Amino acid sequence: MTTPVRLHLSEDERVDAIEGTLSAPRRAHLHDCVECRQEVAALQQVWDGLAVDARIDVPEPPPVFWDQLQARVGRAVDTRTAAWWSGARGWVSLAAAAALLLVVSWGVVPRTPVADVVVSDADAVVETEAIGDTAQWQFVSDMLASLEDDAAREVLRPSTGSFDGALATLTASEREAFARLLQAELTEGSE
Amino acid sequence: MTDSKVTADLSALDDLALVRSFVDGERAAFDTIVARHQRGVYQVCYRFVRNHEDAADLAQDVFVRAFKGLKAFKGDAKLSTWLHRVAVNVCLNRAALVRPGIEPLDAARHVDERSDDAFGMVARGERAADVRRAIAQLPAKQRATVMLRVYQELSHEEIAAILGGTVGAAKANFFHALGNLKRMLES
Repeated sequence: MTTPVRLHLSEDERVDAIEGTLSAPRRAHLHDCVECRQEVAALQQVWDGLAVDARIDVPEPPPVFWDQLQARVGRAVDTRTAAWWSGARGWVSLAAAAALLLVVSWGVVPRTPVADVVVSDADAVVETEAIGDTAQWQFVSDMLASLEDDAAREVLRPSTGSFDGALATLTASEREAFARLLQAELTEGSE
Repeated sequence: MTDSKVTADLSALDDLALVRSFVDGERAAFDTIVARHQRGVYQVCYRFVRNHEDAADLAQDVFVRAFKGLKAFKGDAKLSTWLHRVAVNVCLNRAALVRPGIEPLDAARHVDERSDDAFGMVARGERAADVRRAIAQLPAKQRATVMLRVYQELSHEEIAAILGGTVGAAKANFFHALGNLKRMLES
């Protein structure tokens, strides 16, 4: 039976051999084994070639480059940070609008027959099919449509200048445009 | 405190203290980290792509990623090793997009001035250029292993930590990279 010491060098051991970290027993095998010696010598040649290349420095850029790189990094970081905050603000606005609509939905609409209102007021029906029909959008469009109900409008009449005030005073076409923007935001956010 | 005083104070901090300062909200600490490590990061990137423009772009990406990821840096490894890891990942991810360039002749012959004679110098420079061209043809992980082992002089343990996997796998990668280089250089 062959003892482990008699086995040819493994891949790891051949790497160890060219790096000078092979154990003594395995060095003894390397000394006695022509096949392993040839294998290691071939790898050693490549290693030597790499070592020559490694001695060649990376060409040094002009001194001004380091300031430029640092400035580029600063600008890139600032841009991304600003983009993140912008996105975060957008989501906060969207969340606020959704929360408002949720309040409208649960707090007021149940007191009025929503289906009747939406069906009876054709102008208030947002063209959801043309825009898309995700569950999120359906929810939002239903809420927008429900605002057409006079009773609801009366109960919910908001203070001048507030977001919900502006929403309630939109015309049908403005509401539709707003709806499309919301839909775009929701679609983008869900991707 | 003036900006220059803050910068001077930050420059006196070690890497770990700088990271903590940055995580605590001191943006200038990040600038100091960039100033301190940009050369090393750029050199790692340059070894991958072999041209200045792409290396500069990659180095920028590395620091942008570092900006987002430094909160996760716990100081288990040196910051330079962590940044090298980020750099290698960025370079590997961009490997499909950025093809290592073939250097102009002057750069290929940019050899160690300590070489003994002119003929030997040129021969070694040309040989080194051949080696570089062959490295550029290696599979990405083998190329990364060679870069880190030969050019960055990292241990196999460090390479395994950067590329993922075991030390044995890192050594095996290196072995196969050498074998592939041998075949390419012979042809």
